[in-house]
Amino acid sequence: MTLRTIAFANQKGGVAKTTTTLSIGSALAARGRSVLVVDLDPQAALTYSLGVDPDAVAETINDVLVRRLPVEKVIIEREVDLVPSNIDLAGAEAVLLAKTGREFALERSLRELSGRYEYILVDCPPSLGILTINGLTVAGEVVVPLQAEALSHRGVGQLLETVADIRRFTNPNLEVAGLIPVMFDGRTRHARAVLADVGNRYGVPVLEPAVKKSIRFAEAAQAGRSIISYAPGHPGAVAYRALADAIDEGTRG
Amino acid sequence: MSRPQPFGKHTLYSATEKRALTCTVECSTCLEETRVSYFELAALLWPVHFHLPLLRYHHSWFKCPACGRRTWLRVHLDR
Repeated sequence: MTLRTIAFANQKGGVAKTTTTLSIGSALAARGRSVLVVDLDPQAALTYSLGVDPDAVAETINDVLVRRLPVEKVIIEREVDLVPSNIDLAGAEAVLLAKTGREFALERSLRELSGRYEYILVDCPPSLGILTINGLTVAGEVVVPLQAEALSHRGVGQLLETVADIRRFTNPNLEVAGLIPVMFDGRTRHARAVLADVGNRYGVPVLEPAVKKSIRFAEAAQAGRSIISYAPGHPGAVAYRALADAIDEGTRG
Repeated sequence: MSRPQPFGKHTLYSATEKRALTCTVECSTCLEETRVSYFELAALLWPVHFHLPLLRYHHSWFKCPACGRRTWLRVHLDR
């Protein structure tokens, strides 16, 4: 079984990284793929979005990274399998920073799952710290959810600099799969202009279709489900299914 | 001449701490990754060591510098 590990990263917060990770994961699972999603964000939005109370979880990705607990012991079965997180993960940065090989902590843990999944999707935190570096080190590809507004330019540039550092220091095989326009308002000329400019400026593919903003995503998260299972006919679910199809059918390199 | 210390965002990477004639050793028992000089590595390999390249991820059997046990380890020359 061939494994593809995809990190969803953008150090800007509130750009639907978690929603994108979960929706694409769920859409891939609906295509019959075995999918694991890893919540690498201490805010634990992905954990919450799958109906798991982060404060009630006994063992999380923090125990895996810091205490070296086997990762299969923390996996929770939902519509996609989940490695949960909670606020304790905020302390992992400090612990890992003192260790040699700190960039490889997640890679060492996920190695134990060899052959069990076809996709591992990593939801990175909105920062460029050691947790995001771990997410990018274990990944073969990185997808950048991008809100089409002026400040997004800086975020993409900084993230691509980090990708260059990752290639240099820890993972020479990391590829940028593309930008996914999210919370997109195609009615505004500004959104369309930003999207065209970011794609051209950084030479990164823009994956389509764009995902429009909708309150249904928040409702799905509150229900502990992905938009794919909560509102399968919603345009957001249709868009994420099309993106998942493109990812699944796409060839790398 | 000493190597410049990593600065700014590069302090996040332990790879920037790599010095000449050093490598890291990853232990299958204690799971620690430890930087050692080639001289220290030679001492850890003495008096007996085994190597099973391609057969297992931790392909070398010798003494772990972190936990002190003789166990399966992997040497990363590039870290």
